[in-house]
Amino acid sequence: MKVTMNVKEILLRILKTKEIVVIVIAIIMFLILSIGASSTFLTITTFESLQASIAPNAIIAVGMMILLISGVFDLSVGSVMGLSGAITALVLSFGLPAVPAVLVGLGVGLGFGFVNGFLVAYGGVNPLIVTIGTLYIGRGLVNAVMRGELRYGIQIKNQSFLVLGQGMTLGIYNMFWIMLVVLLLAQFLTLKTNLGRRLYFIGSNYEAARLVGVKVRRTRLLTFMLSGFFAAMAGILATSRFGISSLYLGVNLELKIIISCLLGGASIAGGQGFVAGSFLGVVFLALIVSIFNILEISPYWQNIIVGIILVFIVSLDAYLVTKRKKALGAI
Amino acid sequence: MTKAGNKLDNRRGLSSINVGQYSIYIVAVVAFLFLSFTRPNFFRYTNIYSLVFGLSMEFLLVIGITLLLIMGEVDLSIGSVYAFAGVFTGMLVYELEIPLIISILICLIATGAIGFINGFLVVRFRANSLMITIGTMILFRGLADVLINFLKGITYPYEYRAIANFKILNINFTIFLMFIVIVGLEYLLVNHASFRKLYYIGENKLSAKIYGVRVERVKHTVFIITSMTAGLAGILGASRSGQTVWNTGQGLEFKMITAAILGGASLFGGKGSVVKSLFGLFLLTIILNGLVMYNVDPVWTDVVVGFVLILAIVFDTRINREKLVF
Amino acid sequence: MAGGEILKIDGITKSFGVVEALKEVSFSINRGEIHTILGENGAGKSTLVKIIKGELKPETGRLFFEGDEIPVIDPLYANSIGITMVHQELTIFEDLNVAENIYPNNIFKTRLGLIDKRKLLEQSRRQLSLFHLDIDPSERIVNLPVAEQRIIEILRAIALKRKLIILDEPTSGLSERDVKILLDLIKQLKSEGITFVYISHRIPEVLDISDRITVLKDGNYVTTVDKQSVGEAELIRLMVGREVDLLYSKKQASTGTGQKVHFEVVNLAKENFVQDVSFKLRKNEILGIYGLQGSGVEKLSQILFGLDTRDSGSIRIAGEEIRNYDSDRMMRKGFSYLNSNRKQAGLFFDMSSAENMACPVLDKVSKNKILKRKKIRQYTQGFVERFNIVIPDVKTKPKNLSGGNQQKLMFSICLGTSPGCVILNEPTRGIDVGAKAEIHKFILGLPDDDTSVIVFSSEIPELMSLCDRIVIMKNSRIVQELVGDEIDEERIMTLAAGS
Repeated sequence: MKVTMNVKEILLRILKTKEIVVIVIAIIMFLILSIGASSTFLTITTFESLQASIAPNAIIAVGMMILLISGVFDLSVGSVMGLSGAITALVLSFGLPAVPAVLVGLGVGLGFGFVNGFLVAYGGVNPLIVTIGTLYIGRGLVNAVMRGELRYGIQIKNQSFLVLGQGMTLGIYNMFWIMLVVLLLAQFLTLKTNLGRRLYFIGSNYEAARLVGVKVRRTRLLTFMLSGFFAAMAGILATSRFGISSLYLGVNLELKIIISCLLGGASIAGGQGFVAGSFLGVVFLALIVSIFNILEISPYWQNIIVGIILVFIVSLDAYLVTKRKKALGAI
Repeated sequence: MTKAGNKLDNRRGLSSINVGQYSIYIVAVVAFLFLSFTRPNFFRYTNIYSLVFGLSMEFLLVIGITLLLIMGEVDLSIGSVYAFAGVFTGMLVYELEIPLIISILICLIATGAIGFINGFLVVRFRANSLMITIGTMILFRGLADVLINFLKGITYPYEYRAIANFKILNINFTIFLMFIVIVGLEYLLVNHASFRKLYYIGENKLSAKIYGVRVERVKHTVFIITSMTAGLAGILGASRSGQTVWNTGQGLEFKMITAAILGGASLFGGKGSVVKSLFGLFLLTIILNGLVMYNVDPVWTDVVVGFVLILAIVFDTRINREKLVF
Repeated sequence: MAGGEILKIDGITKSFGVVEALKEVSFSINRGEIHTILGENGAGKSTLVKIIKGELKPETGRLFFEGDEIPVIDPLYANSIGITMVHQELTIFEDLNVAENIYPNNIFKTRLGLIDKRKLLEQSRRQLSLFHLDIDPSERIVNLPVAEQRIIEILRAIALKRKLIILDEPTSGLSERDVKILLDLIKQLKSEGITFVYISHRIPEVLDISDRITVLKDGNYVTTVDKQSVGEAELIRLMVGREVDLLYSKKQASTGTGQKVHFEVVNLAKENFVQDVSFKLRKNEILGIYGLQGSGVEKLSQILFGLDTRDSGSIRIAGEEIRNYDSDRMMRKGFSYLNSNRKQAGLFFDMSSAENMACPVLDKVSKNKILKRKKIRQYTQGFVERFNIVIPDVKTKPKNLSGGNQQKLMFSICLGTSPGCVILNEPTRGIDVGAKAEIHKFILGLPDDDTSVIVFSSEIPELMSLCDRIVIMKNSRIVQELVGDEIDEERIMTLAAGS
């Protein structure tokens, strides 16, 4: 048996993955957009602004992907994003320097992640409902932080902070570089370290993973904290980019992120998908949104389509699971 | 030692005392008395009336949720259906000038169809109702938004607005409706053969099936009922607000789940009572009203609801979950 | 890797309520041997195995592993000292490849502490070829046939350096060819010093692979024999031979059964479960169906009542063919179903007994659809008296009743609709001797009430004392039908498990 595979076989392997469908469609869409609607496309979605809108989402998606691989998900990420941004802006306005302010913001994310993770991993509570609860708490806190005159936004004047979101290095937004680092690091860890592989084991068969000695509950807790951390990071970057905090940052974002991850190869049942796929999913979704905007499809119809996609995916997933169970004798 | 604890063994703490059955009444009364004595503004006719009136606008939603929870299912789309129904009926009356009664009927059929879709997906594909209804929640919220956008911020016609204001003996008819329906439904749930089936299904789906209960059909029907009652509530709500409102009904589904669980229903099925769910809703309303009475900024409402939700769910899990694996 | 004791089982007793699943069982297993535990359903095999792997705590007795007493009963602990079990339901990591299923602890690291994928694949390949297995380690494990998945699980146990591997019916559902591959693998592993505890019903297979065989019967330890010193007949006799027992007197062939066919099944088939099943049930007859795990009896029972669908074949009730039916329809046609596991389904544990009784007959105990509590109480009381259910009050919940009374309650619920035919599954499972006898009496009385009975049971003596005819299933098919004098314990077991 050969130990190495030649190029042809590697290509064949890649062609068999489900992500390939998404990649192909994405490429087709991109080509159609740039050739067919070149002027509108290029003005509406310049490479620059695409970067800035994709980067924060992609960072959150990494955290979500990690959760999905291990078999759960987090619906509070949008609120955490908004809250971290708002609180960071708030402490900056109190005169705190950039670095501590960022740490505070990240701390918010870690805190939320801890609460979510603890209740799910050690309390055995349904992650969907827990994270919806924290979603509400988070959203409410954003409103509480930004009330009165502050509701139009807390201005940020700290230059070193603004560099994070607005600055560019080598012609590419800093936040894009940050996203790349996060992405590559996460992809690397999940492929090459025990820490990362553990996620797949847990997502594939929680009990079996427990019995071979994986510290399942601790890992769960850490993944939720990571998700919160990334959501906070994204919130800080987005707020830095706009230079002002916003009440609406991250609203309704969580489901779009989940869909991006599902498109990127994750499965609701867990155990599947690559971190890199989340990036693919985010780009794909961004392209679809661009197309919708060019076609002047209202955001409401976009939501309807998102809803239909979600329903479809969940139904399909359920159908396949039932089919498999019945083959094993269930009624 | 067995890892999988028996459902029977997990009864600890509060629920092992049978007082647990009545705890929601006690807590609600205590909260009510607390506020009455500490906040003079609370125990006034106008305030109490407004609380009860608000309750009568929302009770229809908690009914559906309770019925589903008894069977171990949920429907998170009720807030969106609420919003959709309000605008849809308004549109039928305003734009298409269809008479009010017919418009309401058409809307009920539409919401019935939504319930049918929810039920179909959950029952036929054995999909998780939590996740499917999040999808339909987004879908119909989008549809509602499309309609609101289309109508471009109108005030509803007079007869539509009049519905919510219809009074008998100077009391809104919805309050009478609430008492009649809740008491009547509770009676049916306890005594009517067909309604008892919900409890059998929730307690042990397979046992129910073995003894001739048409589980799938019952579940499907309840999904339809839930959407239709959400639709009715939406019509009432739209009538009360009098005009198209963005984000109406957002978050209602979680408020209702929290209310039902406070009232003793469980995400794991087998328990629930519409009277107690109503008291749960009442308690929630009192708490929120209490925040106002203590001059707490309304922005904290969401935080409080979220907090109570998590608390309720944690208790529900501790008390009713059979196996601890997540 | 010489012999010597690796696991000593000393005086293990385990009861579930009044049922004694294991009574003072003691024997030992030697290092490096393949030791089979043989016995009928209910003999105590699975209970014993659960205790060994740390899932259940015995009332008395101790376990010694490699000379040391096992101090705590916990599956994680058992795993850590080297005991593992390969289940019938796989514990594979479905989404991962073969290599990671073999080595879930990912021990192959580069100098930097990262996973060395190349080495992982190489080692896996080496392991696989060591056992002459033509499997690609980078293949996703779900793409492999079930037999190979089981093999991978065994290889995982090796990789995790487990010393004692329990195999529970490892060959069930496998083709002959796959069975051979699996058995060869086990023999090869044995030569590496791994100890196997093997559980199987298939006697030819057991004789092929075992070194020693321990027989359990009714929770008692019978004996341990060397493979060479026994034959099939002897083993069967050890498994089922019993003293003539007052409890189980063989039923005299009943003259009361009419010739009229009440229920007929023709060429019933469901892929992977049942094939070509045909039989008739005559009016007021008690028909027994026996088959070991994997023979298809569980699925057959579900199909008969409409709890699961069939692929082909027909079902006729009193000559009339029934198409597209489900449990609801079967009930209306006069059928009733007693579930095999009352803890899983068949009772509503947290509702009152009266409510339990009312479920199938809601219309009968209500007026204008409104339930009449008094009627329900009387109705329940009637059954309490008829079946001697020991219950303080009809409001008592099944969870507060003893196993025997729970079973009687379930029995009552089924008879509530005055069915023309009842399908009973394991009617006396997990209950005390007294209740067992009572229920047997009730079942024997059913034909007098114009009720036909189909009994699915894994207790041969029970079937012998209840049934006019017994059908035996094996490998998804009906092997034979026995009537009257043909009915004999050893004969039944031979048909069900022999070669």
